[in-house]
Amino acid sequence: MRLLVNLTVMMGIALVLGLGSAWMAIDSGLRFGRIIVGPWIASPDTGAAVNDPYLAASHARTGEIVLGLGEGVMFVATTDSGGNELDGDCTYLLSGDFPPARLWTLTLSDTAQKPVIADEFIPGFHNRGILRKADGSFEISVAPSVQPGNWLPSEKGGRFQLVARLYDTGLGASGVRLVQPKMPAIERLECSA
Amino acid sequence: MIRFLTWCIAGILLAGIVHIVVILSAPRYGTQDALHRFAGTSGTGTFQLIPHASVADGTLPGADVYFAHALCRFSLEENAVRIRAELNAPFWSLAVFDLQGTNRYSVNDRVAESGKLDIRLLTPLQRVQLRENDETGTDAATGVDVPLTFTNGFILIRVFAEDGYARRKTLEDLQSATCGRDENRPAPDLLSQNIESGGN
Repeated sequence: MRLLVNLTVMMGIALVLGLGSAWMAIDSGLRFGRIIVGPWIASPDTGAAVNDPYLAASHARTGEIVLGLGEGVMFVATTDSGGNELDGDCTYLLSGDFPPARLWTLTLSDTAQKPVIADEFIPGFHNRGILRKADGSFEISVAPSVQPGNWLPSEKGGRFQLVARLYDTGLGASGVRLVQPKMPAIERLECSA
Repeated sequence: MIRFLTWCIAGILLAGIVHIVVILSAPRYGTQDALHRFAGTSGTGTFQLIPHASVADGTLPGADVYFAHALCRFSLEENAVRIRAELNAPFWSLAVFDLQGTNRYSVNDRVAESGKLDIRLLTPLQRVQLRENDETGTDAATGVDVPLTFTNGFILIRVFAEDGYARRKTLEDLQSATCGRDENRPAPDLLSQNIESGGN
């Protein structure tokens, strides 16, 4: 009887700890080589044929078709620069510039990584169609209602993510990054319920 | 009490093993169905166009809506595969995935001259055989040779298309893209050559 209790305790600890830690590692994306710039997070190593079992496991769960190192790097922001989750009821101001890249696109997705799209119209921007200031930087208003200048329409109610893809950039290629890349700041202006 | 603690420590050690087993086996039970669903069968030599998010609910997860995508399933078992396309876009890129969906090779349009894509995927052995052919002058070398350590996988071409008009033009270009077997037959297999000469 005593043996049975001890065995049960041992198996319980093994399963709970083992499965739990594995799940956390896969789900939270225990990843090495991430680039974190303010609210923007990228995992360029997902696009490389590196032998990282954690990466492979997490990748198998999402089923995402990632950008290769030779193609580009994808950054995702789920919060503003203040750390609050991006909210469809709020107006945000993106200001600054992306790191050097031959092409970049900025789009919206819902929290399940599904892109937001309205028929033929793609809500988003790319570096070939954006109004810039005299110094080359830009400002984009992310808001549910019409805004002057670069307006990225968001949907009222619900959360969203900002997805920036930098194509043909040197960011992912080097293992060592001496200079932290600069990404646009995401500033929350006002919210309407 | 000490006995009980020993059992607990054994449980923690076992937990470590469970953790490693789960992590290592996860890719085998993953949901890499998107590539398999769209790619069709290998050996057709043409690319399957992936429906854009504006017209279809199911598209490639993680695909950029500013891009048009085309997918081809390939096999190097019989011969090398040659990818040819003529793309008129400000930017495009190409990625090679293995059957598990891991990105094994990727390149962008800098490798191509004036939008002409010409890449050959081959195994290291096929590469050696083709090199021998090239030296004898029977076959002209093609654009870029990419040796792969696996034989079956997917080729994904992404082309920047900023609006519906550009996308329709791009899809026409992608429709005529090919990913068929390389016509440059490799040199006869050395082993079978020996057997043949031995029989004579």
